[in-house]
Amino acid sequence: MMVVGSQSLLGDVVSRNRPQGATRRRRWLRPRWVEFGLLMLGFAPGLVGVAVLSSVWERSLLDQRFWPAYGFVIAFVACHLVLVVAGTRSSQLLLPLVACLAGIGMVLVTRLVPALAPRQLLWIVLGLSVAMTVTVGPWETYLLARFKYSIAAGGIVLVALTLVAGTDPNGSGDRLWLGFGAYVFQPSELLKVLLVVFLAGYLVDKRNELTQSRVRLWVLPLPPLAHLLPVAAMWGFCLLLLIVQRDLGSALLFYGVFLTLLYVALGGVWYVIVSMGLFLGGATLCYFVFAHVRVRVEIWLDPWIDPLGRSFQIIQAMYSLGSGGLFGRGFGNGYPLYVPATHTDYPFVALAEEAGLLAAVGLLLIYAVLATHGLSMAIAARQPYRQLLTTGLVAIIVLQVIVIVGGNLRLIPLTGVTLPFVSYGGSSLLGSFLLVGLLLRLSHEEQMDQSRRDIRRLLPEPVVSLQPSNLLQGREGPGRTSGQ
Amino acid sequence: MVPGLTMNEATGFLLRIIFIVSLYAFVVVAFLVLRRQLRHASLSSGPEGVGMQPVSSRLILHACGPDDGPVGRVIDLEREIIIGRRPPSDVLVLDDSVSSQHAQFVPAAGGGWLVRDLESTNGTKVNDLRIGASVRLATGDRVEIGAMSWRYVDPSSPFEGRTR
Repeated sequence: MMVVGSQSLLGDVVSRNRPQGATRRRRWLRPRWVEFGLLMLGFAPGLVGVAVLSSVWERSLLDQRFWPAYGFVIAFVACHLVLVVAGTRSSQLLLPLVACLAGIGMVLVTRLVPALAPRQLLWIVLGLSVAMTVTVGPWETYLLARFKYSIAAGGIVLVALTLVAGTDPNGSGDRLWLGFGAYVFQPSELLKVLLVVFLAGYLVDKRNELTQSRVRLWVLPLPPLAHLLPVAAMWGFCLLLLIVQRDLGSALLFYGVFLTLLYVALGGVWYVIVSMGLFLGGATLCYFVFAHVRVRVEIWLDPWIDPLGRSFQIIQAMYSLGSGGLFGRGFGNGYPLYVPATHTDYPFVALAEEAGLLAAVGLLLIYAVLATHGLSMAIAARQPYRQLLTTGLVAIIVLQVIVIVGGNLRLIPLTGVTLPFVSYGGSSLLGSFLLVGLLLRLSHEEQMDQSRRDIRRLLPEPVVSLQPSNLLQGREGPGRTSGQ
Repeated sequence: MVPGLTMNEATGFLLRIIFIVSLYAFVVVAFLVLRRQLRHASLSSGPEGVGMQPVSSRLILHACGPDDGPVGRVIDLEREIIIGRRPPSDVLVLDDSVSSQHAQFVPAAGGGWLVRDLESTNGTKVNDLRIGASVRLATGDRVEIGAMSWRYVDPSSPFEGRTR
C-alpha cells in the first residue's frame, strides 16, 4: 500500500508540475484573419495586371494564357488554409508580401514569355509546398544548429558536383547548373540558404572565442587563428566561385551575407573593414586577371563602346527603362522583349517600362516592408541562433534585391542574380520559398516560446507574505516581457 | 472621356492607375500592420530599464541555454533573491539543469553581495570554481547556474574587469 500511496503522490506532483498548455498540445485551426485580408489585398496588383493584359491582347479573362495566374492565387490561398489548419502562430505578414511579389512576377512572366508561365506556376507550387513542410513539419530549428557541419558539407558537395558535372542549358558559357533529365537546377540558390544556416550556427558557437583576442597585429585584434580558419575558407570559397564558375553575382551575394552575419554576431567593426579590404583587393585583382570580369566592368562604365555586341543588353535596358515614364505603357504595350533575357535578368526594368516608375518604386517598398519585418523579427527573437539565422535570411533577400536592381539601373555592374520571387527561374524560386518557410518557422517557434513564458508567469505565485523578496518576481521573472 | 483617346485606351489607362493604386494600397496596409506589431512589441517589452541609472549591484546574463534569455537580461540586486526552476524562487528559469531552488544572493555584512549555493544538484560555480556554501562576489565575477552564466557588476567598485 505504500507503493500505491507514493505512486499517487508522484502522479499528483507530476500533474501539478505541468500546467495545461505548457505541455505542447497542438491546437488545430487557429484563425489568421490579418493574413487573409492582406492576402486578398496582395493579390490585387497581379490580378489587375492580368486584366490589363487581357484588354491589351484582346483576349477573354478566361483565356488559357491567364490560367497560371489564377492557379497562383489558388496556391497561396491553399497555403493560408494549411497554416490555419495546422494552427501555427507564425508571422501573418510574410505570406501576403511574398504573394504580392510573386503575383507581379507571374504577370511579368505571362506577359514576357507566356509559354513559361505554367512552369513558373509549377515552381511556385513546389516552392510553397517546401515552405509549408518546413513551417508545419515536426521539427525545430535548433536541429539546424546541431547539424551545421553536415549542412556545410552538403553545400560543399553541391558546389563540387557543379564543378565536376555542371551543365550549361542556356548557352551562357557558365556551367552553373545540375541537370536532372529535362529539368535543371542551380545549386547556388540552395547554397545561399545552407550558407546562412551554417554560418549562424558557427558564429553563435564560436562567438566568445572569436571576440577574445590575445594576439594583436598593430591595432588590429587578431582572434585565435584556428577559429579564423572558416572565415578564410569562406573568402577562398567565394573567390573560387568567382574564378572557376565565373558566378559574379553569387560570389558578391555570399560575401555580403557573410559580412553581415560577421558584423551582427561579433559586433566588431574591424572585421568588416578588413573583410571589405579583402573584397576590394580580390575584386581589383580579378579585374586585372580575368577577362570576363573586365568586360562586365567596362560595359558598365561605358556601354557605348560596343552597343550592338557585348553591351547590347545594357543599352536596350536603358531605353526600356527610360520609355516607361511615371505610369508606364501598360502591360503588353511596351517593348521589353528587346532586352535579351528580360524575364530572368531584367524583370525590374520590364516592370518599370510597362507599369511605370511608380510601380517600380512600389515593388521596392514591398521589399522594404519585408526587410523591416524580418529584422524586427530578428530583434525580437530571444535566442542568439534564431536572431542570427533570421538576420542572415533577410540579408539574402535584401542583398539580392540591391545587387540585381543596382545592376538593372546601371548603378553597379550587372551580375546574374535573380530578383527574389519575381524573376523567372525554378531554383531561385525554390531557394527563396525555402527561405520564407524558415522565416515562418522561426516566427512560429518564437511565438510558441513566448506563450510558454506567459504560462509560466501565470503559474500559482509563491506565498508573498512569507518572502518579501517575491516582490521582485513580477519584474524579473522570465515572462516579464509579456507585461501589461 | 479624354478627347483623343479610344474607349480601349481609356480602359487601359484606368487599369494602369488601378494597378498602381492597388499596389500602393497593399504597401500602406502592410506597413500599418507592421507598425502595429512593432508598437505592440515595444510596449510589451516592459517599462523598466530604459534610461535608468545603475545604482544597485546587478547581475547581467551573458550566456544561457536555449530556453532562457535574452542574453543581456539584468537583475538589480535590491534584496536577497533566489534563482531556481520552481516557485518560491524569485527568478524563475526554464533550464532543466537548474535545481528548483538553486542559488541565493544575499547582502554581505560589509556591503556587497554573497552568493550561496542551496545544495543544488549541479552546483554553482564562481569563475569556473564550484563553490561550497557561500562566496563573496567581486565586480566582474562570473556566476554559473546551470547553463546560465551571470556576470556580477558592482557599480560602486572602482575595480572592474577581473574576469578570471
